[in-house]
Amino acid sequence: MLKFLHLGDIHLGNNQYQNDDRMRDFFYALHAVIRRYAIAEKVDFVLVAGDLFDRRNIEPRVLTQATLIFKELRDAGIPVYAIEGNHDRSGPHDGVSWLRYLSDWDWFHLLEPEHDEDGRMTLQPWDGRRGGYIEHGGVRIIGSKWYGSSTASVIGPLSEAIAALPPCPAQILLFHAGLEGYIDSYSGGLSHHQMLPLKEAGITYLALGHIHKRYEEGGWIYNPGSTESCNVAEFAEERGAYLVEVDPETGAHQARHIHHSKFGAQRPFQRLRFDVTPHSTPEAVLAALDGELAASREAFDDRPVVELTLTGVLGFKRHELELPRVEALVHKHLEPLLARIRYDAVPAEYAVAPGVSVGTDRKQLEREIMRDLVSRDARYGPEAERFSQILISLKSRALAGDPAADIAEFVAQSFAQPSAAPVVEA
Amino acid sequence: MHIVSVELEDIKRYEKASYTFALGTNAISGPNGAGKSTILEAIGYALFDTLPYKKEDFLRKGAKTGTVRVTFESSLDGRSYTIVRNTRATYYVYDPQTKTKLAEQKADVLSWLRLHLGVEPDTDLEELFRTAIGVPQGTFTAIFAETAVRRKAVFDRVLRVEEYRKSSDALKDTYAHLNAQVTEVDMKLAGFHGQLLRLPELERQREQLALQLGDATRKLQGSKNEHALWKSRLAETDAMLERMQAEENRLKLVTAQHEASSKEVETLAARVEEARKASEEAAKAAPDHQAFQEAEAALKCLSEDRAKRDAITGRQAEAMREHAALSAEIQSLEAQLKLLDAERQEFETLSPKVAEQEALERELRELERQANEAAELETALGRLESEIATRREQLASLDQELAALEALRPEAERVGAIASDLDAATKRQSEVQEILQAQKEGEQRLAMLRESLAKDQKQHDEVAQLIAKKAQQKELAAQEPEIREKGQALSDQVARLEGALERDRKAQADFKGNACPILGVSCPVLEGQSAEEYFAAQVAEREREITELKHQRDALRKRYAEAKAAEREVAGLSELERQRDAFAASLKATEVQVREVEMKRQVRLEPSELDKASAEVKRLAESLSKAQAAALRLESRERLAKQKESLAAETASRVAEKDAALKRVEELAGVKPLRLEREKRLADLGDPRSRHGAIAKNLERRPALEAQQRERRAREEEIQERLKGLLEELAPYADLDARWTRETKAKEQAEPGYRSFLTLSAKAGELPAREASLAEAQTRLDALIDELKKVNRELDAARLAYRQEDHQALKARVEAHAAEVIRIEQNVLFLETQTATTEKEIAELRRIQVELAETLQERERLAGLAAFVEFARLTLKEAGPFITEAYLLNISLEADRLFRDITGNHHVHLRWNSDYEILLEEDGRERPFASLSGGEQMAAALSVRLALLKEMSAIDIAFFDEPTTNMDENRRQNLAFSIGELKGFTQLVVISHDDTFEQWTDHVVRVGGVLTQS
Repeated sequence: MLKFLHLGDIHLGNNQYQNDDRMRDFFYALHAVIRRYAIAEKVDFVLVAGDLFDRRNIEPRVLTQATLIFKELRDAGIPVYAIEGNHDRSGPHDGVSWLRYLSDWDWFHLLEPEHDEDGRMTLQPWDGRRGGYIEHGGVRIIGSKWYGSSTASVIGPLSEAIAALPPCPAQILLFHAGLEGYIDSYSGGLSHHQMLPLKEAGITYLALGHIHKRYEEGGWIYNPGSTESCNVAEFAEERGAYLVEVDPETGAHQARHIHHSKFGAQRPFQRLRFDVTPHSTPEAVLAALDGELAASREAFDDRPVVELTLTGVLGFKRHELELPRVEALVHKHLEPLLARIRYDAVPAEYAVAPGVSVGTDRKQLEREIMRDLVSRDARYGPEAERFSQILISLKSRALAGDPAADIAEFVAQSFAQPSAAPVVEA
Repeated sequence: MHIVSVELEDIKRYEKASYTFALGTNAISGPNGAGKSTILEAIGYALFDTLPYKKEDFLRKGAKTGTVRVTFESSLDGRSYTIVRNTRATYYVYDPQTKTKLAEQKADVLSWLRLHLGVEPDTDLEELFRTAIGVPQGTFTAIFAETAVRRKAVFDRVLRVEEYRKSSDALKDTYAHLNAQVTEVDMKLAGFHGQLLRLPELERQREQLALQLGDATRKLQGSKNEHALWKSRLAETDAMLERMQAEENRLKLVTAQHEASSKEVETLAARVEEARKASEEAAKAAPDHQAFQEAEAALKCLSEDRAKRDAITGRQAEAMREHAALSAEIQSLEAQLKLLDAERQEFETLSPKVAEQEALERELRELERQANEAAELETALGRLESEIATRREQLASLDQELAALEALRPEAERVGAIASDLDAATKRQSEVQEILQAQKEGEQRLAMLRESLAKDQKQHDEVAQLIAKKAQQKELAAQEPEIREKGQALSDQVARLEGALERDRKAQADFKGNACPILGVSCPVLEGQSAEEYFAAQVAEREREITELKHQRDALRKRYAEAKAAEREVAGLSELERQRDAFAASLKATEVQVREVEMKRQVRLEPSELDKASAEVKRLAESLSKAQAAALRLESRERLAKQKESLAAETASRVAEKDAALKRVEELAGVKPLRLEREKRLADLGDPRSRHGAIAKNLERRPALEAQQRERRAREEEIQERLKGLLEELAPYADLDARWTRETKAKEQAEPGYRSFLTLSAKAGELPAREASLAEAQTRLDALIDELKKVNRELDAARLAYRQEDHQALKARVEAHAAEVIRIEQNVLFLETQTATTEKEIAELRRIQVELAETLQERERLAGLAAFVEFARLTLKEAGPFITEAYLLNISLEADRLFRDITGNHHVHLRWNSDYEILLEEDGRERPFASLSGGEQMAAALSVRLALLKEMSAIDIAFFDEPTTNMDENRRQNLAFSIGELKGFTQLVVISHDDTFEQWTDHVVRVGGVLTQS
């Protein structure tokens, strides 16, 4: 039996909020998981499913961070197999990416398939410097690149290339792509059905990356989640890594997810919202905030990142509320590593629909306002969300010039659906 | 997203060009008309489906198709894609990494682009480009300065303000459609109601029918029962008739069967008899049959024995054959051995002859060689002789030539002398030429000088004359001032007189009748005269004086004029004198020159001298060339002498060769006859050697032959043994043939009897079977007879029972009943049908009732839908302004932020209001766009456009086409700085022909001024 650690979306060098301490957090997280779950568990190899680095052009100290980690792994005799992600891939002007550099200097193996002029892909075995796949103890690990919106169209050629390889009972594919259904805002994900050709071509373990939330599907698709939160929203999601045992003779595997809290080095986040509407002057706002923040303090292992969002309708001009003073209050009560203030409150003369935040895009604006208007009607108000969405769909259909009969049909169908599952339009 | 590269092929100025762009600020710089804006247009064409002019104008002159390739990094997934579009119709999206085309056809490409540019699916890309991205030069601020109506027209479209109203209007059709459906349903409902009115009537009908049906059914039942009764009686009678008929048929049948059976019995009896006879015969033939079989068995044994014997005989024959062969071989071997003995003797005799033969052959070879040599030498001789002859001829001619050349020597030696003579002559010639030339020039010069002399003289004389003339005038001129004075005095006088005259005339006029106009009394002056007379005389006097004076004055004036003229003349006098003197000097000089030249003329040379000199030169030249030619030819003498030497040497050697050859040929003279003699001797010998050799070979075979002989003899003995054995084996079979013949004869004799026995016994064998059949047949016959009797009996009985008339009567009765039944049945049927129809109708109506209920529900549903659509329509209409305003607010806030970044001024606020007017607020005051300075306007317009772009798309790149038009240095710097300060854009591209931007940019794209160059 072979054992391996499956990671992804590490984002070293993410200078979040332009704060050096925060950047180091990413390194500490990776270091912790490697120490505890790769070296201590004496795994046979480590898989990195893309986005090792947060950006294409990294600073020298980030390179040092990466090298430190890989040196420990090398000293422990554990090879690393990695692929590029959308953040750390080479750009159109660059010749060689940092990943390629690290791979050429033997810190890990960067696996990449080749593309020929007909759009076909071929996978070459690892020749010591380059390759599309490598075999370790009877298990075959295959790599891929980041394909963005072309991902769905690449499944076919990739499956063919895999099927063309000599048969092997245990095949792992590293793939930086997302399945639909796990993140609301992620369009362009593939369905499980679309991934099936890979399984039919012989993949027994699909090692995904790209989506920062953990999920698995079908008993063969695994996405561990990121190792540190890349934005405030992620903090609440489940993330981490997979520790997997696999039988090279049969390809059967047992994957255990390690929750990120077990890494032991996660920066706490705190999100707060404050409505300014009841307070008519800047001073009143500050006074109220003072009290609110004092009450919001929580005990964390480490200094947290705090995000404070100010919402509502301002009774005065926007610039009259001095943000440095708000920030000072946050620092006073919560002692964060760093504080981010989002100033979404809107002056009265601009407030069209209360609760509509500034900086939302048109689509969201439309949704909120429609919902607002619909909720005022006695007939449709109770299911405002559902009906406002139907309304928006009606609008686009009417604009597109759909014939009246078709639109009527659509309305009929939408009404026929049970309320629990409203018809969602793209 | 950001642009990575733009490639142009046959577009406008560019034959083939490729530009790369970096992140951050890019400046496209180059002189006017270099094609900078083309790059922006190309981006618009490929990514935004925008082309501000016809395709033909976009192409390079003379090209048929132009292609644009724009590579950009998508904001959707961070990968690079290339959009390829040409002016034909090719338009596709290419993924350079997977090397596949992702979308082809304009519609697909545009929706793919909308996705990757981050704009909403129904965005007008062209409008977006024109308003926010590729704003044409000079129109940056224009739109904001226009009227509210114009602004609204542009920005409403960009922000898609109208779409809510439009969609609301469009939904009217849907509402109408649904309403129409509701109306249809209502009509259906009305129809249903109408139909349902009939229901009670039908139910009543049904009841009535039920009663009627009950009656009729009862009646029917009764009638049916009676009918059944009569029918059964009829059936009985029918049965009787049938039975009778059946019996009659049976009788016929059985009779026939009986006949057949009798016949059968007869036949079978005959056959039995036959068989008996055959049995008797067979017994007679039995013994023959036996004999035949025995003979056959014996023959079988015998044939086996025969086979064995034949085998032995065969082996015997084989052995004998072998033996014979061997004997033959042994005989031949003996003969061969004898032969060999004979040959041995021959062998001995041949040996010495062989030796001789070989010697002869050797000799002959040598002789042949010599003969060849002789022949070669002969040919050589011939060749040598001819060569010698030619050479001797050549030598002779050479000698001649050499002699001729020698004769030239003296002449050749003279070359030097002639050459020097020639030089001298040539020199003389040129001297003569020079002198003659000088003479000519001298003549010319003289003539010229004389001419100028004459001219000068003339001029001098003229001037002198003039001077004389003018001298006369001098006097006159001197008088001028005097005349002037006089004239002036006269004029004064005249004036005085005229004044007096005037007074007198006036007085004359004033005076009337001798009274003084002033005093009014008579004037003392006029004593003795009348005023008229007095004044008249005065006036006349005055006038006379004046006239006189005027005459004088005129004459004086004339003289004065003359004097003035003379003065003028005199003025030029000194100049003229100077001229005259100059001419005189010149004359003198010229005379001197003339004298000089004349002196030179003394020494003269005739032209004929030149001819002489030339002739001399020519002559000398000719003789020089002749001498040179001779010298040249003389040079060749050396060469020829050498040639002669070598030729002589060659000839000598050949002669020597020839002598040697001749000698040798003589030596070889005797070869031929000798050769002939030797050849004859060889022939006479007759080649003993070969025979000798052959015999030797044969002799070698002797041992082998002897061995063979021994072996064969041994085998012969062995075979003889074998033959003896075989004979013994054959002994028992001696009488085999006799026995065989005996048995065969016996078989032949018994055969006929055997055959007839077989046939007869076959037949006889059938006897028991035949007897059995006969017995059976007989039994059957007996049975049939009994049956016949029975049938007859029954027939008689049946005939008794049946009576025809009763039968007929019954039939009629039954028919009548049947008719009655039918009639009643029909009635019942009719009633039933009626009932069924009514039931069906009622059921139908019930169904309609159900449908009515459902349709009502449907109507409810449709009405609900229509209500919703109406609600949607109204809501959309209502929402439009709200949404637009909120959207506008977002843009305004963003523009505000950008504006502060660009200007660096944080105390000012920009607001873009719902009229699309830009207002700047500072210190509580709001300033309209028109009142802003040029720089502020530019910055404000920029902020709004960029904010628009940011809000509406994920295109965070900005283009500036000649933004510094009409700006002074200071403002240009400010703008460049501001553009550099813009945050939130991954890529900025500035097109400018001035280099203000280069210091603020990260990357410069140079566009050359040369046509067709990138």
